[in-house]
Amino acid sequence: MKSKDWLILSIITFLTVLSWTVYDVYHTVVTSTITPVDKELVKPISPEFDGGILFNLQQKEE
Amino acid sequence: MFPIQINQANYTQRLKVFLQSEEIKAYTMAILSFFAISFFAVFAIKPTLTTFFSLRRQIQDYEEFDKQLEDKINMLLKAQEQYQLYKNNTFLLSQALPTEPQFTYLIKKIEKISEETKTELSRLEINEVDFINSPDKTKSTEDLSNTKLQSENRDYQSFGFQTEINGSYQDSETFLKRLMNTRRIISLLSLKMGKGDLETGGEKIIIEVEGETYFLKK
Repeated sequence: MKSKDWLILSIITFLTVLSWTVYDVYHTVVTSTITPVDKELVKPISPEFDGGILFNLQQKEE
Repeated sequence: MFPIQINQANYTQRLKVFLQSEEIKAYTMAILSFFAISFFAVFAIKPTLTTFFSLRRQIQDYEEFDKQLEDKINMLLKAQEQYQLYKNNTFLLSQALPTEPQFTYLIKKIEKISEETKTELSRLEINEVDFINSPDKTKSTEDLSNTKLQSENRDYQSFGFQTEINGSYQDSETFLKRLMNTRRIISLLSLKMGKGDLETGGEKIIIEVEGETYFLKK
């Protein structure tokens, strides 16, 4: 192999490693560390309750 | 050993001459630099950067998670307050939507209403209850898949019933009103009216009621 071939090979290696590093960092940045189980845990619930329903039911025949 | 020493000397000499060329020096420096950077990128820079961004992401995620968890705790506290407020009346909900089908309760209730409204209960049928969500055979394939999907998504299950009563118009009306006014949720699916027993003066009417009631899935 000539010196020029070695240079091309080293540049290609460098670019490959660079893109691998960039991709890996990007992947780390965009991937959430919260598990689906945790997400399920923090799902909001509605604390409001329509008391009128109970009143209406009370008026009905048992 | 001697011939090898000669070869090594020659080789060193040739290498020195080779490296004295400016072009070769430049190439060698560039190639070694690229390989060195690549090597350190793989074994030092990449792990460091990945760890750094991973930790930063974790901090962001857990801050957000902590906030959401706090909101959830506040909601649960509010829900608990509401529950304390209506605690004594929650049995009403169980009566409206029981956790069991409670067929006997429904039958007795219909019988009781019929007795109290002086209507004659000539027929009372309860449909089969499908506890494993098998589709209705009378429906088309598309309807079946829709029904099945809806049924799977719902938290409650239903079963139908048919009843036939015979009585005066007023009594039958009262029967229906009372049936619809029970705490247990009942949907009226169809209502058929016809002439009743003519031997009693022709004032009686026959009403066929088809309804549906519900219970919570376990």
